[in-house]
Amino acid sequence: MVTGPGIPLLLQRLEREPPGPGGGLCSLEAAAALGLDHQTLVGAVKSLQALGEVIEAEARAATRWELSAEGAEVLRDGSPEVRLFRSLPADGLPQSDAMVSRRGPQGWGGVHSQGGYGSQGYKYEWKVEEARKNLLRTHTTSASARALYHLACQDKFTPVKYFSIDRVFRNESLDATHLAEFHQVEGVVADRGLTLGHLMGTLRQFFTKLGITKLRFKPAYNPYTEPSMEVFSYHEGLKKWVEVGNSGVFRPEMLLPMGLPENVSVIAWGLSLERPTMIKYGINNIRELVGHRVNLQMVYDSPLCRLDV
Amino acid sequence: MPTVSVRRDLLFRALGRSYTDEEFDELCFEFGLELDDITSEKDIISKEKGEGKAEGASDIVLYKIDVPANRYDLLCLEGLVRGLQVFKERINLPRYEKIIPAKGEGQRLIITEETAKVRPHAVAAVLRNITFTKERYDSFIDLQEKLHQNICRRRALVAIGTHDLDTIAGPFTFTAKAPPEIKFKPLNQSQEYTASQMMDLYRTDSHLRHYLHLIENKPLYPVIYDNNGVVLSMPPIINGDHSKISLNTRNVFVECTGTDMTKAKIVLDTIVTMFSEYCEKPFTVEAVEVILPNGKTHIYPELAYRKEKVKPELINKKIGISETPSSLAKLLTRMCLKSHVIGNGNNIEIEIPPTRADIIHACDIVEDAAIAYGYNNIQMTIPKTYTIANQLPLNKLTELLRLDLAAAGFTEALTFALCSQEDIADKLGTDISTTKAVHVANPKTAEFQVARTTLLPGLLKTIAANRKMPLPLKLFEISDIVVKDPSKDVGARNYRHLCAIYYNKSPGFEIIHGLLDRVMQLLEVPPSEENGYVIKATEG
Repeated sequence: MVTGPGIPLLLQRLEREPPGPGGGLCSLEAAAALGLDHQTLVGAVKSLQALGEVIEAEARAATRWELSAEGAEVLRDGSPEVRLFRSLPADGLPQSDAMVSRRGPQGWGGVHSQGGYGSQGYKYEWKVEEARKNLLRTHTTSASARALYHLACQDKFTPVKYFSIDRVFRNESLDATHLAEFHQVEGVVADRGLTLGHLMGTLRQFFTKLGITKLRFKPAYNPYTEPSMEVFSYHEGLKKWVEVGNSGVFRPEMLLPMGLPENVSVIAWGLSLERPTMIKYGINNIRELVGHRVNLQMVYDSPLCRLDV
Repeated sequence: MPTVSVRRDLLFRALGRSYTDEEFDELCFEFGLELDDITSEKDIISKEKGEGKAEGASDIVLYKIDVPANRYDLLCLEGLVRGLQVFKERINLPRYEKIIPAKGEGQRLIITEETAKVRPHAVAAVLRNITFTKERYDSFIDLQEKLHQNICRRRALVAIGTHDLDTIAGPFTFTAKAPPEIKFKPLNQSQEYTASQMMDLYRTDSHLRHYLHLIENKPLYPVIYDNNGVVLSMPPIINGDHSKISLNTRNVFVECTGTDMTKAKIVLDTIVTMFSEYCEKPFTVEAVEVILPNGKTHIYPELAYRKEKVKPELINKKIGISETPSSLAKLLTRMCLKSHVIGNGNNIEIEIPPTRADIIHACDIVEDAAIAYGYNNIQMTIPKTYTIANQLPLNKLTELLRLDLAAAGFTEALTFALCSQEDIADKLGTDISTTKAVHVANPKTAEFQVARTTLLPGLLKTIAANRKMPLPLKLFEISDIVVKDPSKDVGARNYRHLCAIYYNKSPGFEIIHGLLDRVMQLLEVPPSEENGYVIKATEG
């Protein structure tokens, strides 16, 4: 004898249905109608099935579409494309700004064209299409910017010191000291309350490690840093001051749309790898250092690179 | 970085004193300029065309000064001198004044709706009773060229036209017409041409041919007429000969047309602030009324002075100094940002003149304060930031492997990431379409057509370049290759590859096999079909 919760109710309910493939019940509806938990009803069905020719049951899969949180947002505010469209001013925005940040309320589009975060803005038309164009990076600062964005996406800000040594590309005329690809060294410190003095102090220590101690700093201009400094060192051999690096404090128009806290400063510096190497080893043609035309004998014969001697 | 060429004698005369080259170099360094080269016209021609051609050229010493790209106020001798004199506290920054003529007496520029599709914006101003000398005239022309090359983005965003106001009569009309309908005698030509003919005429002109594309394929070309139908200019290509300025010109009509309104205004402000110095009433500019297609009117030049308030603590904190508010105000005034202390001494009010369009945020003001203080006077400190350092795991592994590959007797190579299509396809016996390579749209030579998808061509080329070396040659490289990947926002992805090559009279397959086994051993990958590695024969 088969017993189980719901079985009598189910059988009674089934009796009322016409026989054959047209009739029958849907377990979900029946469960709701009978005030039973669906799983309990399924259990009852299975028990009855086990008896043999009492009932016939067919398993069906049903899918239901449900709006996710993002979907609900789209329903309420429109798709990201529509929101971007609506947020642009009548005559559009320059591309490099329209990268809408989910964090900053204005994103780069607003900041570059109209200002924001205390800035007048650059007052030009920012276009997404322009910002999206792919290029081989001309400096590793683009990678640093990505790294800072990931930092900004953290729940809580933590100070960081990053470095990178990697390849960059320039589509310029080639000569003895210029190639289409070379390497850059970059350092970034992000923390609260950093000053220009901190940047200079950090650079002093950094260059000391490379064996360069006589340093002077010159005001410079980079679109993404303010203040900016070029770093010069005195070359005993050439008897003159040569530029050894570029540095600066990242502009708020770059950092704030990422969502970094307002009192966080980011100091950064960079230099090329090939130029100081050529100066140090007295190499005149960059192709002797990078690429397939390097003389392997030079590689075999080179001594250890000991910078702090 | 734009370079301004100035005559040393004129520069020192305007500065009121002489400097040795080293002293001037030092002054430039402090201010943020770079004395790039000391030369003369003779030297320049010698270098470019040979000593013979330089006969009779001027020996006068020229200073080539590099100027920051965002300082439009330092692009001519007048601006440099003014900036340096204020910096050295020898003069106060002059106050630029806009004079609005009585009703009905001023010049007007009417913009018609036809310009909308080709070059919608225009601004204008008048320099009254100006006195030109040869040097001032040359400087005036040079500044326009510098502005054209830099902020105007080679005339694409803004084009400047300067005209002798006494040869033309307002009101002026800025409109656009079909090329065959525009006919005038262009600057320095002896006959009239239609605009279509001018396109052909200037196709071979070394200077102007670069700008033709800006309007060439448009149905209507921009053109400015005076009240009698005289053509002032066809921007951005060429001005009319009729209204050209000369040393005797006393009144100049300056017009700037373009596709970027903000930059057009900055360019106009720059020209008039720089050269109003030579007007009878120095530093005054006569305003022009511009009437837009919709009937609205604007007065130009803007010559706007803006006031900003910045807290002294902010400036001190961002730089790392501790100056009094009044001292900071003095520093800023030396940078052409006239400032004074307000509100109980805890705030500074700064007036930003029209020549400093580069000041868009407090950080720009902070930089100027630091420059006036002297970067090299700032005390160097180390940030108290405490962090735990780590190497990127991929790079750490790469470094470790490099050492062991060298220990196995292989020499590292550093080859180019960009190469030709054949390098990664044909020469390796495959078709480029199967490689998923990223192509460069504008390669300067065939050597930069694609980003490498394999390290092999680089190593093979290294061997080819080192054929004379004793054998065997054993090379390796551990570096990135690039392939297309639609799932990434940039559409491409780097992979770290390892490649090793053995070159000798005999192929040495066993050497490479041994190296592979060694690398797998180092990476703890067992020789096993199920959970390790095996070598299989392959085609091609």
